[in-house]
Amino acid sequence: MAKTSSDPHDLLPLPGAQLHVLLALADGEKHGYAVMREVEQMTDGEVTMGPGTLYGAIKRMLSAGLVEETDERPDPEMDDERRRYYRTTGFGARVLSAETERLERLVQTARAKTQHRLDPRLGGVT
Amino acid sequence: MSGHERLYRALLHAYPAEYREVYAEPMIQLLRDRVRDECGGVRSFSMWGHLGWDLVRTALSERTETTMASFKTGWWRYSAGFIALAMAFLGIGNGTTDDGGPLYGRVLGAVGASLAALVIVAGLTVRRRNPRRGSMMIAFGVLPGVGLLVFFWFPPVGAIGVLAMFTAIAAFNDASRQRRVRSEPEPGTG
Repeated sequence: MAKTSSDPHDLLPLPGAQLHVLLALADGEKHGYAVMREVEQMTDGEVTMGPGTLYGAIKRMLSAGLVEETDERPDPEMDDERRRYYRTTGFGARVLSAETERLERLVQTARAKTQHRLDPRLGGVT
Repeated sequence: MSGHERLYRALLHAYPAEYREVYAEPMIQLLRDRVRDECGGVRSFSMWGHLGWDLVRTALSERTETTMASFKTGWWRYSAGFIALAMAFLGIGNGTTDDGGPLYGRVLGAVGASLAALVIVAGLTVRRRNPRRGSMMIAFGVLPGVGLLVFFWFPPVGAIGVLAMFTAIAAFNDASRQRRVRSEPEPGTG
């Protein structure tokens, strides 16, 4: 299915599940279980994606053109042919980059506000 | 096939058929992987708790999305079903209520409304095999419902008349679109 938007900012903010999948696929193609494991590792076990959450996110990302299915196998001899592998598209990489910048700005704002609130010299609470 | 897989395969019927067609197998593969790595004793319960919650949440969301998408393009079919029910209810209700009017008029009204409702229901069924014919039947079945517009002084009934008018237009429009689709030559054959 074709993507519906060409401006990465149109898709922001990304839903949490889609952001996690894009991050998991950022360093190469993976199958569903590998994506799930990578997300678990990235979040120190705080996020475990169930099959419905994972494939629901993948369905929407395929339709938005953020990821694509690939026939290539990192190690064909070690793998099951029935597995489906996914990788990030160029557009997906641009969306991830735009989302990262947005989150960076948000974190900076949050830090500035909490520091101001916690620092007594700046009139914050003691 | 393990018991885990059999159970999960059965539970996947909670998702819409179109979704299952594409994603059921990869989801089952993911379950196999998890069973291999996570199962045993208490961990099985924990895994199934997580899977169950995931399934309820996402199946509901997929069902809602599918229904909304189908409603967007086929609202008039839902509306035709409602009009069929309303016409049968109003027709039979009026036919069995003695309001002092002539009996033959009430009987004729009840039979006419019931027949129109039957034509709509038949059209909805036929449309699955023959979209154009089905849409035409729905359009003609709904047309008598437009007559309910004369009850404009009684808003609920008058509103059904307005709905019938828009539904008839949408059904005729769909029948005409189906005709164009059928008459267009296949690419490479014309």
